[in-house]
Amino acid sequence: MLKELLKKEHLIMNMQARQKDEALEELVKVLKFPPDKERLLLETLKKRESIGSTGIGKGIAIPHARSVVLDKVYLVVGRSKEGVDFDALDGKPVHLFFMLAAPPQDPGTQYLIALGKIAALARKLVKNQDYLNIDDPDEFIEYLVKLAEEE
Amino acid sequence: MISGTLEILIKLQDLEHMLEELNSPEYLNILKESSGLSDEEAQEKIQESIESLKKEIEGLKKSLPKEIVRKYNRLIKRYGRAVVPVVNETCLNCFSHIPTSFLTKSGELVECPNCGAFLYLPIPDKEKKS
Ligand SMILES: [Zn+2]
Repeated sequence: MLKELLKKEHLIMNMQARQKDEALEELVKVLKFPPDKERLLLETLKKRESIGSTGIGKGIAIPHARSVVLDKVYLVVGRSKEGVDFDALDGKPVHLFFMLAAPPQDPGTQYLIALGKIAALARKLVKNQDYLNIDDPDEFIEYLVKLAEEE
Repeated sequence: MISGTLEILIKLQDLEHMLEELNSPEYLNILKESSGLSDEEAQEKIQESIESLKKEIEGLKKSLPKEIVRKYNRLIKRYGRAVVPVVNETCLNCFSHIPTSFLTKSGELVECPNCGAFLYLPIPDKEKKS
């Protein structure tokens, strides 16, 4: 399932952002939405962070939201070698973002299932930090897919 | 451009979905699994988020006309949602057909002629159906 959502055009290998809001903006921009749609999704994601950071610790954050303005599930992956200050649970900078956005009417809670899979993937990713050393986008996606499918 | 009232309603509905998600048992499991927090810590974390979210929701409602809030609350109570997208000319709350004359009103505050839900109409051209 993550395989279908992981797309090269929705991957940022080297994020420019250093702060929370900038990071969310950079991630959302990748989707190339019309301005109204982009702004509304961004505001919902920011609101989500304001009630509790999705920085789950050990360098990973999973910003996520459902919004009326979306027509399908989107996943954007962003990596930052330098790290982003994201008010993570452990206070450490975030190096890898999985931004998941979905429409509210999402059938069969595909969104929550994807969120669960990303959470499981995150746990594997922190064991070694190989994701910081891969610079080829195709290889990066392959690495994530392989790790996600491993038992 | 999206009208001010519709924009607030969309934000409100998005927060409502957030609340629903925070209250779901799956969400607690996901948080525990991803963060390594204990059951108690994760529950506490979620509870804090729920409290702030409820305040946000109340705050947003104050910025809307009373009549709209009444209608919004009524829809939420009845259907669990108040603002729904229109996909393939269909209201995603009641699945009735939305007249073509409505479809050009993207950005305006429009209600479904059948169920009364506030409609989010697709923004023309960039949202062509595949
Ligand atoms: Zn309807």
